[in-house]
Amino acid sequence: MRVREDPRVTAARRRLKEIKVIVPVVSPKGGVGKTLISSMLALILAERGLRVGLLDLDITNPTAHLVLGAGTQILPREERGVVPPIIHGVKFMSPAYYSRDAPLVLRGAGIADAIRELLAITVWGALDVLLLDMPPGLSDEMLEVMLLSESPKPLLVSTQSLLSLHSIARISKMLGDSGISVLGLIENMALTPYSPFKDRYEELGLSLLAVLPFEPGVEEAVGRPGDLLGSGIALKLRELVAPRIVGLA
Amino acid sequence: MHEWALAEAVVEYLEEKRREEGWSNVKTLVLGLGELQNVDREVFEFALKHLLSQNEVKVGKIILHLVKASFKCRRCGGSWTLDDLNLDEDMREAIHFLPEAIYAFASCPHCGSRDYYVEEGRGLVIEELEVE
Ligand SMILES: Nc1ncnc2c1ncn2[C@@H]1O[C@H](COP(=O)(O)OP(=O)(O)OP(=O)(O)O)[C@@H](O)[C@H]1O
Ligand SMILES: [Mg+2]
Ligand SMILES: [Zn+2]
Repeated sequence: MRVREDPRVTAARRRLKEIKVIVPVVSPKGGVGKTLISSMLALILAERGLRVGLLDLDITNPTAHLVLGAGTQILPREERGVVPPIIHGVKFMSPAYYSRDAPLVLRGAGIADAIRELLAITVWGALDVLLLDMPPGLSDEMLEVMLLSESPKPLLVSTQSLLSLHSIARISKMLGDSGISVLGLIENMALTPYSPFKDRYEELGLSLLAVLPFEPGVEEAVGRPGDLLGSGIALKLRELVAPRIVGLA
Repeated sequence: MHEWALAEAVVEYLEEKRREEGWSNVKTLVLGLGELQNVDREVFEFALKHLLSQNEVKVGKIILHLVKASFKCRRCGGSWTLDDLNLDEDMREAIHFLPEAIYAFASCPHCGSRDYYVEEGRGLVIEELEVE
C-alpha cells in the first residue's frame, strides 16, 4: 500500500481536543479590531483564572505580539514539541517567533502548511479557551481551522457600516452552512452606542454581544497589557463578552 | 525536543489508521525526512522507537530517508537547493520549527522573487506504509 499522507493532521486534532473552547476571532474586513479584541479577551479570561491560549493565525501579517508587548527574539522552549511562552497569564504562540517579523509572503498552500505545522507541534496542554486571531475574510486560515478543530465557536467583529453588514451576512451564512455555530458578534469602533443593524442581526440569527465605541486612548495602551486591561473597551468585554466564553468553557 | 512531537504525530497517525482500517501490524514504514526541516535523525528515530515500544501498534521495519530540499520559482522557473542559499544559524533554527519561515529569509537566487515553492524535502512525510 502506498500512501502519502500527513501525520500532522492527526497530531493537531489530538492537541486541539484538549481544549474546551476554540474561538476564532473573525471579520469580513481588515482593520476592524480583531487583534485588539482577541488579545484583550485572552488577557481578561486569564485574569479570571481560566487557562487561556492565544494563537496568531494571521500568518503573513502577525501583530498580536505587538498588542501584548511580547518579544519575539527568543524562540519558544522545546519540550516534546514547542511550549508557548506565557505573557501576562496567556500562553501565546505566533509565527512571528519564527519569521522574526520579516515579511512572510505565502500563497494559500503555504499558509495551510504553516498552520498545520504550528498546531501539530505547539504544546498547549489542557486549556479552557484558545483564542485565534484570524486575518480578515474567510479563506485558507479559517478552512484549516475548520479542518483541524471539532467545533470552533467564531466571534465576529464588524463595524457599523453597510458594507460590513453585507459581508457579515455572507460570513454567517458560510459558517452556518458548514454547521458551525457562531458565538456572537461585536460591533467595534462604533459611532453610536445603539447598533443601527440590530434587527438585521436578529434576522441572521446572530447575537450582538457588545457595541464598543472608538476609544482614542486605546492606541497608547497597545503593547501594555496592564493598561489595556484598564481601558473602557476592556470593561465592556469583561462584562458583556467574557461571560459568554466562560459559560462554554 | 520538537523531534518528539513529530514522532508522536507518526505514532498517533498509525493508531488512527489501524482503528479505521482494521489491520494489526505494520510490516514496513517508510518515512521521508525533508532536508528543509532539518530533523535530528537520531533523536527522531530514538523517539519513534521509544514511543512505538509503549504502543500497541507494532512496526517491523522502519526506513528513514533524507529528502533533499529543492525549490522552484514561479516567476522565472529557476530551481535551486539549500546549498545555494545563505542561511545563518538563527534562520536555520527558525526553519527547523516552521519550514515556511524560509519565505521570510530567502528569495529566488535567480530573480529575487519570493513567489517560489518547495518542490520536495519540506518536512516529515509518510511515504509508504505496508501493513498486515
Ligand atoms: N475600539 C477601538 N478604539 C480605538 N482604537 C481601536 C479600537 N479597536 C481597534 N483599534 C485600533 O485600530 C487598529 C486596528 O485594530 P486591529 O489591528 O485589532 O484590527 P484587525 O481587525 O486585527 O486588523 P487586520 O484585519 O489588519 O488584522 C489598531 O491600531 C487598534 O489599536
Ligand atoms: Mg489583526
Ligand atoms: Zn526566480
